[in-house]
Amino acid sequence: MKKEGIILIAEDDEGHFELIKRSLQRAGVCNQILRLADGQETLDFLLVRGDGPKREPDKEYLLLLDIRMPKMDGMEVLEKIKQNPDLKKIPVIMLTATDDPRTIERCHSLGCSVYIVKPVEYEDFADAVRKVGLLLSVVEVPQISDAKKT
Amino acid sequence: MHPVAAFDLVTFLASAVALIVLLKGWKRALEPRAKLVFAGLLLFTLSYGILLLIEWSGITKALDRAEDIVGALVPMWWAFVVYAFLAGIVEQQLLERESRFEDLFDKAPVGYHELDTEGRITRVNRTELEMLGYQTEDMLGKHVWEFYFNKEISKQAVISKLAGTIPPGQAFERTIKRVNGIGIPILIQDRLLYDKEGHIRGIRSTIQNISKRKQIEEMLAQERKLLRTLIDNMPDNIFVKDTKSRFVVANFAVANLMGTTPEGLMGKSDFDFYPHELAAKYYADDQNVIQTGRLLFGQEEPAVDPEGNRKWYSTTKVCLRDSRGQVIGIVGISRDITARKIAEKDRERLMKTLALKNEELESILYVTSHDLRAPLVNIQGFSKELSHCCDQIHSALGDKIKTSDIGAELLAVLNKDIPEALGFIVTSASKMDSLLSGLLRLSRLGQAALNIEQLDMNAMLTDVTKSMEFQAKEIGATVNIESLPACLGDASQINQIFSNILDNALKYLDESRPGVIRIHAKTENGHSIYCVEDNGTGIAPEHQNKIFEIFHRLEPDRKSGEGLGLTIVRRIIDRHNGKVWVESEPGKGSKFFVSLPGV
Repeated sequence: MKKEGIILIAEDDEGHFELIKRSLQRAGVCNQILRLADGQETLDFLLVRGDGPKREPDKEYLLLLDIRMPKMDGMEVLEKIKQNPDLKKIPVIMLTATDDPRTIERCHSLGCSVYIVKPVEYEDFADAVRKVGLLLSVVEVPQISDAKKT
Repeated sequence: MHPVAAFDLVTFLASAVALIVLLKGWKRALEPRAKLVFAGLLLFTLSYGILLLIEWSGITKALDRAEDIVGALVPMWWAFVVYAFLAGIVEQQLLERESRFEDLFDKAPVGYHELDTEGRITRVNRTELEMLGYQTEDMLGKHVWEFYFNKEISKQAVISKLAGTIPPGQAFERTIKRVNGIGIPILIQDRLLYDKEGHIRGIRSTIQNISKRKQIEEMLAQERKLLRTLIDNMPDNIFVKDTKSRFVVANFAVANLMGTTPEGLMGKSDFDFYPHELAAKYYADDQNVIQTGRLLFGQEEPAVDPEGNRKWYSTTKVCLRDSRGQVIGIVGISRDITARKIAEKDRERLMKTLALKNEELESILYVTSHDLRAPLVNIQGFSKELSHCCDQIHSALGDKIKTSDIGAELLAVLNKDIPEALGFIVTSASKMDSLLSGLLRLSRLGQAALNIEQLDMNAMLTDVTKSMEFQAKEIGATVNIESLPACLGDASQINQIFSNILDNALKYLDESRPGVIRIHAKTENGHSIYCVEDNGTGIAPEHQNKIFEIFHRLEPDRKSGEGLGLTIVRRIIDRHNGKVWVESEPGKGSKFFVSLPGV
């Protein structure tokens, strides 16, 4: 992932966001990180609507998505993204406290790229995020506007 | 001997023979003509014999004349002899015929008697005498009604018949008294006897013993009564309908349901009692059974009682055929299953509620454990951040801190108090996390579908034991597996059961003696009962009931674990319709029994 790529973190829990951000930065990820506080905000951002921050065309995005969030949960967001021809190329990494196998399976069938369970143990948590960081450093993220051009 | 004398002797002997023949006939009360012949012959034979005697004794001369006269009578005498012989033969034939008639009369297969105009018995045959046990003289001359039980009725009947006022016709039944006083039922058939002028001169009757027939009739009547009592008093509806679905038989239960009496139902149909729609349905069922001959079995159908209450019945209808196999209607039985139906509906509702509650509970469990984990991530994470901060402060202050007065105090806080506090926070958060994941695992057990198959328990227990080999070796315990029967269950869940039990057995061994764990089994009532037996510390009786409770731990300080192992075991076994129980003696060891459906 190039440095210009923006990492979106959809996370209602501010503490979690902070921990994820710090861990990513400690792992050497220096991309811009943007927090979206719930599912609705995430979708509004991506679909370029509402009052909050909006997605800019021709920029690369990657989404770290929590599941249990107010207003709209992560799975619904994931479903909407993958149904949208413009957005479906965005890599989505589920990062959530839920380790229920049915949820994991559902997310994969909806088209998430990676599913990571947030461990409670800090060391494990940091390790998991670090690995996400490592992953990001090798992942090629497509430009969303590509879909419209081709 | 003089030839004439010889001839005379032959004549004499022949007449003697003829005499004997006739004498036999005398007894039979011969007709008067024969008696006259007999008397003449007797006279002749006697006189001729006397003459012969005189002739031979030498006084012939004196009686020559007499002899001549007699001699002249010889041809006539011969004629007598011949007649006597012929009469004898005819007589014999008559006798035979008479005795045949006697025989026919006496030994007829029916009793037989004749009455005179007064109703007195004039003749009675042997069959009747034997039937009743009387002698001829007991009956002859007596009024016939003396022998019947209902004398007056008999007397009136006999007198009326003799008077010609009622014609004897149909056979009728009476009870006649035997010699021992016991009555026997008889069937009597009468004919009137007339004299030449056409006046009634008596009655001739045959009688037949009908005790056997009466007995059978009685038995049949008894059986019919029994059947009727059964039908009438059955709590189930029993009815018979003809081919046009009209009631022919119905018991009280049917009648009550339809608000009438069994008699009131005869000839009526369902249309006379039920709403048209219901009656039409019943009628269609009846006709289907009648036309196809197929049984309608246990059909559950609605009905309405006279008060208008809706009821449910389980109805069976079967074709009724006559002795030639022709369908003549249906027999129906139906049982009131209203209570069952209500119970079923209640049960259904309860099950639905239960399922809903269960779902709700699981979702609460899921949501809470998830939501509770999220803050834990923060507690853990920021505790680490804090400890990270402490390190940063520590290194930033460096050696300077040691030189200041408050330095030592701060250092103690920085190095000891804060890390200790953070340690407690982190440990507690970890513990809460492990409790939450235990809860989650338990809730998921109820959701996972069971894949029931036949399990080779020898192989499974060998696997389970092998996975714990290291742990066992470390504490010097041996695990012996005896031959185990197969059972039905979900492989991964049953594996989990024995892993948990074996893990406990190894965990609670007695350190003062080498641990021995024995796994054995038996088959009982179609169940395979496995036993994991150890010689460990054992469980006190007051704890034995609690060990299956969630989060219950025997030695929380000494042994690790979540307190979920046996809870999971019981949960799995409940889902397999099995049983788990423990027998234990503190200080000696424990036996964990697991009963699962056998093969």
